[in-house]
Amino acid sequence: MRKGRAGIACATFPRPGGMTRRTFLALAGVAPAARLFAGKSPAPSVPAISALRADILRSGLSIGLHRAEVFTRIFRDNVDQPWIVRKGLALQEYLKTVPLYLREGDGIAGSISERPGAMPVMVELGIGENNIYTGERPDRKGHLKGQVPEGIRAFWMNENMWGRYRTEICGLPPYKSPDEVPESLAYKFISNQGHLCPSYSRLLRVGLEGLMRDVARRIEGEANPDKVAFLTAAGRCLAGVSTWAARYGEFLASEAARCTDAARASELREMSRIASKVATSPPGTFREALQLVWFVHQAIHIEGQGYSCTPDRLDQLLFPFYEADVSAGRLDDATVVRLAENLVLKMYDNSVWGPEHHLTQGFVMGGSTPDGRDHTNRLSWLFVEGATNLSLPEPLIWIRWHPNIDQKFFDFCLTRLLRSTCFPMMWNDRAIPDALMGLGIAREDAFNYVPVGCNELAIPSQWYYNPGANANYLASIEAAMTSGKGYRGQWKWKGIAPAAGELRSFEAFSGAVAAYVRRSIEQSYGNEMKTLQAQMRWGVTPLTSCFFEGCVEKGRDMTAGTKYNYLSCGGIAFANAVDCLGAVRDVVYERKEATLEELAAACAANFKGHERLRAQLLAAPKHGNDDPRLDDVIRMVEAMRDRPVKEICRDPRDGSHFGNSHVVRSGAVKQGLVTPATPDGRLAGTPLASSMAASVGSEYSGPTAVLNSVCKTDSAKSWQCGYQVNIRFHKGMIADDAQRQKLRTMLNVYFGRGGQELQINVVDTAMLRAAQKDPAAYSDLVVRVAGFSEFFVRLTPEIQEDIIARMEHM
Amino acid sequence: MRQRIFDIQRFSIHDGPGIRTTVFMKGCPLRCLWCSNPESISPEPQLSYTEQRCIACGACFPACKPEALKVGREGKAHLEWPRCNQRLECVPTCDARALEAVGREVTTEEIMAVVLRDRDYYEASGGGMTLSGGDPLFNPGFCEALLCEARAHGIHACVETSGYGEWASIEPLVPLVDLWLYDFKETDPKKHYEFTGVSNGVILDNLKKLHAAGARILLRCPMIPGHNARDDHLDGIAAIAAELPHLIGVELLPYFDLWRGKLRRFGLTPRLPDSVKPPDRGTMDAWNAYLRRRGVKLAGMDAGAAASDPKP
Repeated sequence: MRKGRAGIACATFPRPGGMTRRTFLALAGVAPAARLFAGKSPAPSVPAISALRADILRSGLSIGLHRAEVFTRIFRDNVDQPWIVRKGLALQEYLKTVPLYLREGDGIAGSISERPGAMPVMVELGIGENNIYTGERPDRKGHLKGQVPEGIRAFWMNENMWGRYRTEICGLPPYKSPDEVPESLAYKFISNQGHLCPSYSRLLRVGLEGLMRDVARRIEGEANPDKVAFLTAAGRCLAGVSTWAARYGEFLASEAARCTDAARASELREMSRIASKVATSPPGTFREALQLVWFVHQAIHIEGQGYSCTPDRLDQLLFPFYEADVSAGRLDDATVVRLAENLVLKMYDNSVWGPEHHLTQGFVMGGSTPDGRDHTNRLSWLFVEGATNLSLPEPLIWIRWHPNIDQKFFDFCLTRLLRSTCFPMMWNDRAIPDALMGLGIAREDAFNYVPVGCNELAIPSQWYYNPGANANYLASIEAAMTSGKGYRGQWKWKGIAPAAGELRSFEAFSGAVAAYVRRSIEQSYGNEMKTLQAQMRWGVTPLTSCFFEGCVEKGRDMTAGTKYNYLSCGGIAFANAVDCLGAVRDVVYERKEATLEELAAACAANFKGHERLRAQLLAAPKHGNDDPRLDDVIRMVEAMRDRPVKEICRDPRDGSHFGNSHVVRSGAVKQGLVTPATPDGRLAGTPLASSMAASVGSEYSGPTAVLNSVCKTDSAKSWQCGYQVNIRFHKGMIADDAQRQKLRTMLNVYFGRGGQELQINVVDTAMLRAAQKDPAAYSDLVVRVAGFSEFFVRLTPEIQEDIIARMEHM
Repeated sequence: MRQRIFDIQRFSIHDGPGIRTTVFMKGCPLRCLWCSNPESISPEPQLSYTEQRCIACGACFPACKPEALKVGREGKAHLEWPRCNQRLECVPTCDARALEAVGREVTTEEIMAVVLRDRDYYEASGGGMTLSGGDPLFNPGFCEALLCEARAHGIHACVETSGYGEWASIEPLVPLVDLWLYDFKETDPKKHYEFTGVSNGVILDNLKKLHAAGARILLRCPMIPGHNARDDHLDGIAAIAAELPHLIGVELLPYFDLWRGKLRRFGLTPRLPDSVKPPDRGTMDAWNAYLRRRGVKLAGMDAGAAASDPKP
């Protein structure tokens, strides 16, 4: 009877039917996680951490030039040395000379640059803004302008990885002036490989000293000049890190001497002792281990920016230290939580260009052993607690679900969503290892996987994620509708598929789309392999390689190959592609409401004057609603990518096949801006689907339908390198014990059925109020209410108020 | 067998234990002043018009014989409800789904096909299917057929009802229903008539018969300020609860007024004055405390779960 609680919302956006007693509770949608942080108040465990957090957030945007200057000088002075040796020398020199600092309240030493908030420029890779960043923040475009001195830019314009890639690999004429270098470059040309996870387990066993000994032993009697070059560089890098840590030991001692606060002075003395010790020796305590991991992890970022670098599996790695300390009475849980918070802040502070932009760093907790035992330990709890206390958009926090996960831990993680609004994100040990084993990864390695970056996958020290091709679905659909010309006649694709007028059946049409997808994969594969060549020649990372299995033994950089070399074919807007094909079949081929040419004209006009046609397209079945009419289309879209990838794409180093993934995050909004209207009824310039589960605003059948739709994809065959699923709930769903239990049950079912990944975003009233005040900042905030979804900021003020009022009742 | 429904809602988490799928049927014998789904009352399909969705294509105008649809602002359709003949001839012309029919005929098989999609979630959460409306008992034959199918598939079934029907048609449902969500709206028969259009005699009779037949019943009582939110009604609830010891419990439901806005979509006008506002949490707590003091067992929506602990 009391079904009217969802009334108002339906008053504006009716669906065919009615509403239940409290339909309003379930909200699902998609939006970048970072958006959700506005207005959140953090709750760190101690005031010192609050102060540190505030200090970091206050840091403005600035550029630190020490790295640029040192690298330029060393590379210039050592032109006769191999590239990798110059890199090793330069990093060592940087670590020897960089001015040190420690923020007030910071309990972990080691910073990305010489000054709080300043970010280094990776001159030997490429001098440019990250085009992902400027795509997300167009207002920040050009902020690097004039920041790097002319002399440095002129030296590097044809000399760094980007410059040499252009001239030596692409055969383009050299730049005549540094001003010709584009302001923005792809991440692969301003960073190391990215999406990787070093292993720190040997580091913790033998210390820096031990690793240096490994390298020294290996180089003895080595005759191969390439191997000698790599090992020389690796030795220089490790020595540099050791020097840097030792310098911190001295620096912290002098800071302690100057400090007037007795408690802080004592902590600084202890930090000084730890830094001096771990500069050479293996760590003996939890805090020593954490500090050593941080020194190395930070140095890896200094070496190559460290785009999307996960610091191994910290709960597993550090647990023996924790256990020993606790049983010796040296450590309590409150201290661990504080150190976890501190570590999270260090990672946040580490982000290139400061708090505005994120390197998509993160860490993962829990997981199962290959034989199905639960790996969750006390540290998993403490790290999740500390990390979610901070309410920061980065680092990302992941957990690994598995059938034997401690349900109390899982429930605890769900409760933490209230604090963090979207962390922890969840991966599934029931799905991922199978997919990785399908690629050819050994079982024990597959069960050691970690998420990296937005949502890609890696295995510590053995495999890193590297996109090697891309399936451009939406351009392919446009091409098929326009005989390869594009809406604006911008392409000259010929002979790939029959002309649009000849596509008389849906099978013919989907065949044409598949042909263009194949061509887009071929093209992007070719381009990416050129980039890979550039990475192998000038993007080498001898320090990072010391933490990758086999690199020192084989005497070669990780870019020459790691234990597993499975590159990935990415694709964005999977859900849009499914919806587009479904709509074309429904509207053009089954109901014959329009021809393909008419549909292309309507898309080209952004549906202006074609409103009825757009309405018909919008009414077609949509992915994310568990609609059996799309089941075959899902498989078709997967196959469009999988078949050509299998046939075309091979890793040039060892001939490995590729895996597949759904590229996420920035792509959806940034690509959406430049993507014309699509035959799913989507308007030009609006976001593409960032979740593979449903395109923006089109899931109207509730979360179980979304999850069922995801489970229709074949994660082991088609998504070995990861996908992302977003789902949104109001905080009431999490805060209420009974409701949260239902949510947890639903997730257990989803993961039990093999769903790979899930990210929950929590919406609350404060966020909706903030969106009302600043609609532009929340333009992509979608609310799903009683069976329909809409951009919140597009709702009328009355409806917004009604939604907020209803949420207050939950 | 076919029945007119107006919605199937998945992931219903407030209409019985666990995760459920709720089937809303058309047709109700009651006319509650505060009815939150007034479009469910008539068993016939009816028109819904949502102006915001109109794309001003003009396709509906020729289809509207009584000329209830006129060109309104920005070229959008303006619907003069009194002229509408409810023949729904405009609906197929509207691609934008601004004009829609509330109520579609479905078979039990079609409903079960949707219900079964979330079977794993029901099993894990102790959930299932809930029949709601309208009042499912308005068409007991269809309910029986649907409940038989649910039983055959091992799906936990709730029926949410006003209890206003012939016992002879309710009785066969008893073995098929796992949990009755039984509404009790007013103790005073006269007031019950005033608020709902019917007396509560049949409703109370059926409640007692169900109880005697061993049905599992959760008594749900909407609390409408200025109407049934009175101590003497709470006393009445307590008296019934005392008389029916095997009730799973009583749940007080706060009145919500958010249904008002949708009336316009169906050309209806509210019958409850604007001055009636939802009770705040404190008031609800006080009512609950009042019942508790009188020995009433209060139960939440998760009462009556088949399996209370979720399986991993």
